[in-house]
Amino acid sequence: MAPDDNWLTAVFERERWQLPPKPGEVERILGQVARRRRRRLLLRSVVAGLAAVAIGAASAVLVLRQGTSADEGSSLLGQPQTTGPIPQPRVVRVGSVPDLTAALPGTAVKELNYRMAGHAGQAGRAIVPQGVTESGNLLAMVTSSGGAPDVVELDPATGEGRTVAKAKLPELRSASVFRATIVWTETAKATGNPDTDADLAVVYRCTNRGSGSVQDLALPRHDPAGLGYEQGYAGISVGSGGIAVEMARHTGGSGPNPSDDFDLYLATDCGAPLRLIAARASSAQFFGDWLFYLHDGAIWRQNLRARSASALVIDKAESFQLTDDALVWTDAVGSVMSTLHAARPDGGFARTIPVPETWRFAYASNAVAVAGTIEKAKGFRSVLTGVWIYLPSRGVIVVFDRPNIPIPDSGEQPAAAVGLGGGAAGKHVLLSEYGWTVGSTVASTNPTHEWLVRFP
Amino acid sequence: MPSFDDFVAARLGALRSYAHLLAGDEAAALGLVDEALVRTGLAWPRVTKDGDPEAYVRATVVALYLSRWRPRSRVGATGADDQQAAATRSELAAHLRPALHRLPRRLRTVLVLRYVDGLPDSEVARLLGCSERKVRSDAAEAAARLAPAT
Repeated sequence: MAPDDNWLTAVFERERWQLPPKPGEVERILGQVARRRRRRLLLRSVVAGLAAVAIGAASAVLVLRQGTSADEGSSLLGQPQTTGPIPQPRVVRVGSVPDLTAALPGTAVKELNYRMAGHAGQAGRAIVPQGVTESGNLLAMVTSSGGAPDVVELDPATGEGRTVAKAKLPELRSASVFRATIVWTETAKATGNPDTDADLAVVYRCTNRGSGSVQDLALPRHDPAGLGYEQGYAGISVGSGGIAVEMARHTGGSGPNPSDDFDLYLATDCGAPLRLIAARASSAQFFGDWLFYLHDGAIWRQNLRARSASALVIDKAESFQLTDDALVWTDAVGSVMSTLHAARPDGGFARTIPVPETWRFAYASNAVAVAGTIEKAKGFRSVLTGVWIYLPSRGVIVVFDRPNIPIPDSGEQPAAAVGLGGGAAGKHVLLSEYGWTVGSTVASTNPTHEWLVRFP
Repeated sequence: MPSFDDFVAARLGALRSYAHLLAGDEAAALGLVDEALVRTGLAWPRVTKDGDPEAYVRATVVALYLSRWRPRSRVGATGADDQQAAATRSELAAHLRPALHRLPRRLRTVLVLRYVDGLPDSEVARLLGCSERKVRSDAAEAAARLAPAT
């Protein structure tokens, strides 16, 4: 005979117990939250994450190895749609990046192998692009013949570079472009460990290709109430409405300790002053005349041209990305097991897409695709095993995943995996193959392969 | 609404107790609660907006547990803690707990949600993504399996 409900309830009630925390355990958990928040904020702007930027010796010799060409033909892709229902996506698993051309006909894959010339004609270290333009040019930091670092824009077709600006600091964390405006973040030499890199010197800069003048973005030091901002964790994006900057408040304590509490500022152009556009808001993205952002656990949009009041688009969201024809977001209904959602940019035709818990929603999207990483968790550490790329209007999710990659012990290098590279724009996305561990014990390696992918 | 720091300090012990009922061993319970609290901390403004942080953490613990999330092994996490915890257990440790931990994860989770959280079947069904009828049949099966041990 089964026990009745009252009996079971009473047993569980009697057996409630509390294990008091040991000294330091609360602080350890709070420290983990702070570390993971810092990492997430870095990923917001870095995309490629913690891969070190390599800077080579003088007299650049750029070597470009042509990759697989586009292959037009029968397609697993549906026809592009910009209106109407979002198609149910099919998952296409791909073993290697060059295989994309067969899996998604019309896709172009170019393997990048830019290197600086080293001493005595030997190849030097690889140049790692940290941004891509809408037309597919690469933004990277290189060292000029005078020994000073330059931010350059490289044409992958010719291997020729054009100097964007003389750098103030030796590493390029991220760069993004919208038409004539380029914004980027320079940092001091990074180790790749977010714990030790937390207080790196950082400068945020922009230029307009027309004028050629380079400006340092003068970030606000504190909010209107006088609460300080974390200068090293600003999120910067550029788009049709100008340059959006989100500033994280300091949570207190000594050293860099950004909160999840952001204010959103906007400059209409490079050199224009930043003005507060939305308090307690983050994740700014532009869509035509609209500025989308997260506020109070929801996605809002504001028409910048009409200077309209903000309107609610999605009422429960944790993060989102925009393509030219879709809004993709995650929520956390009932638990933290994120579910992917897609809709048209006005929120219509919403569709829910169940995804594995190992998928991470990253801060990368271009005109046609949203991308994220796949990570295998091991306690507070996780290891990159692959990447997913969702093309909402084409009804396809491309998955590169090596789930059997062993989780390394401390000090060991994980096996290589395909991850997101240094940027996405237009129909382009940069993919990298490299091994890294993330979390409280970080070890990163330089990318072993880089590809520029252009979707049809 | 308390700060996240205050919440962790006040509820860490109770949350570990809760996780232990699900996971059945100290190391797994510690790992589940640590991960759930980190995720909760990252989402704290939204969690407090929704109103019940402890319910959120518990739901996260359940979700992690059912997803077969594996904590990193924690050296030394079980020895002293186990002894301390053991001193607080009596009836459950002696009779019910071994049988409880022989149950499949899903049945064990239904019991914990029903009799520890006191959730109605509709809420248990929503959390587990199944029908209320399935919750009731799982609960009956779990209780029947426990009966011989009692």
